[in-house]
Amino acid sequence: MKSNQRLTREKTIRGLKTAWIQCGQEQSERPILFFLHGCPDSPETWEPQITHFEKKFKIIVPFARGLHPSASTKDWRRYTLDAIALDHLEILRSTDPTGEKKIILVGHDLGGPQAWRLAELLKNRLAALILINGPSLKQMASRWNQPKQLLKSWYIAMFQIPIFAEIVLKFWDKKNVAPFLPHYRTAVKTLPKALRSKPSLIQVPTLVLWSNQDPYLDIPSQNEFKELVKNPVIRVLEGHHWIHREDPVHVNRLIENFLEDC
Amino acid sequence: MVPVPQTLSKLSWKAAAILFRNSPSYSAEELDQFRHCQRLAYQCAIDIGRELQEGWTELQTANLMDTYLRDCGVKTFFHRSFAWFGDRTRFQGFANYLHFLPSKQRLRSGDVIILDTAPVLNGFTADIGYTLSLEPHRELEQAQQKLLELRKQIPNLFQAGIKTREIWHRIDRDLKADGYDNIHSMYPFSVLGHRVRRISASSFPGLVRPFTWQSYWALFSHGLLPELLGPEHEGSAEGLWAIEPHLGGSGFGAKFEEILIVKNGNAQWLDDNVPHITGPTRSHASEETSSP
Repeated sequence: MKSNQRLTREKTIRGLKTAWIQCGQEQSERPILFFLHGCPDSPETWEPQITHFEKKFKIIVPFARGLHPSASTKDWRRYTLDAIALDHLEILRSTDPTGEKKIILVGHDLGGPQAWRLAELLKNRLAALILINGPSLKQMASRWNQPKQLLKSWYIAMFQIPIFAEIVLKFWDKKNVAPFLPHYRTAVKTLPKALRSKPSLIQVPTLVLWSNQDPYLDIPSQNEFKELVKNPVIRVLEGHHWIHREDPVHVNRLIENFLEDC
Repeated sequence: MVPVPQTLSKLSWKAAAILFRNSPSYSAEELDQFRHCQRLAYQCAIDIGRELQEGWTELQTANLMDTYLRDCGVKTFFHRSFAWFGDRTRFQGFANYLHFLPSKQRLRSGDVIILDTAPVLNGFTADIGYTLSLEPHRELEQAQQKLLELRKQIPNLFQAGIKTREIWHRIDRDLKADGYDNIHSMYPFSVLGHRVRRISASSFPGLVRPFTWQSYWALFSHGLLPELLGPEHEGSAEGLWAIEPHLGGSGFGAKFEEILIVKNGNAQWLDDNVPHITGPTRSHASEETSSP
């Protein structure tokens, strides 16, 4: 079953239509699996994981802000990690009004920084954090002096140029990237603040999956995670940027084993 | 020795009386706009309040409140959001202005929480205060009852034609008679409240956070001291006031803040649909509230 056939729920949150896919076991005693996709994806990118885990878990997959049917806005502040985290908390409030269910966050690419931010706010409600090629904004900011990462991030610089970026994306037939431009522009605006910030240490079990041939993100060092996570499990896999789609069997097995050990 | 603040207050009041003969009187439509802004501010406090988790910092909470309000169309603030946790709700150990600012203090189980914010929406100001706790808190519930008593009394005091500074002293005596400390006496200028006006909607941050240039202008352009309902207040009681009685119990403080309309000697609260009357005062209470 494709995600466009799944139940899409919508709610107006602080004036903007916000949509998410909701599926799996509504009455499950297990934590809610909350997937956050990256650019230029949609909830459908998690289809191999949804299919694998929906028999046991209740699953929620938001559409990124600006990605239809989630509304876009010209107000760049609505794309800050704080604003997005408030949207995610409201989605969770709508699906679990008592707030008693624990949450497992899974983030990929741009969904990574969003998962990090939400994890900080969920505190005791967070059961586990899983990151797939998804650094925190602080990590990305602290890579500003790494030439290799800077080269890999050339497109982020290009995305900052108004009109030009939109024309280039149209010319290259990459229109599916356009809804994500405000995310990148806002992220860059807030990088200095992210660099100064001191995020609280994530205490819950954390799994980091990273592919060795990611053209956009360098493999993080253990040291990068020291200030951010207590005892992360880090696995480097053979693959490119979308390993959860390239090798879903392997990735699902790693996630499943990790969750069993939690 | 000449009581300087009182002299200044009187001079300021006289100057203000010459410059601003009439306190602004707002139409029903304008009052609706003030009410709309106040409801948004309270909704923000309720929504952020119910998401609070142990470990959040005051700063994080205040920033999320500002984010929430900006998402809802707020372009500027009379003052940006404050959040105080635990014994900081009674300003324990506050020695200077900087101590009032949201800090890195983390929320702990059993803490009382005060959220205070003052957004400006389309030029209409609100200033609200909301007290809650993560868990049942008997002393806080008693304090909330005391605050509700005060809420009933305050319009009557204004209507009785009592001088504003005497209202300040009566509330001070009332709190102390019931064994509470008067925490609003620790605010700058010891204010029980301050006047609320329409404010230009453009945004210029002030030098002293979390206030903005618009708030300085709103206060100073009307003589400052007549705008502040403190123990020495001189001046007309007419107009809109953000009233914020703040009491201190053992290890915690509690307050509410909302707009009181005083017009032609009559006084009434702008809105009775406020959470200390109708809503949850526990962060994770199960009542459903709608997102704006």
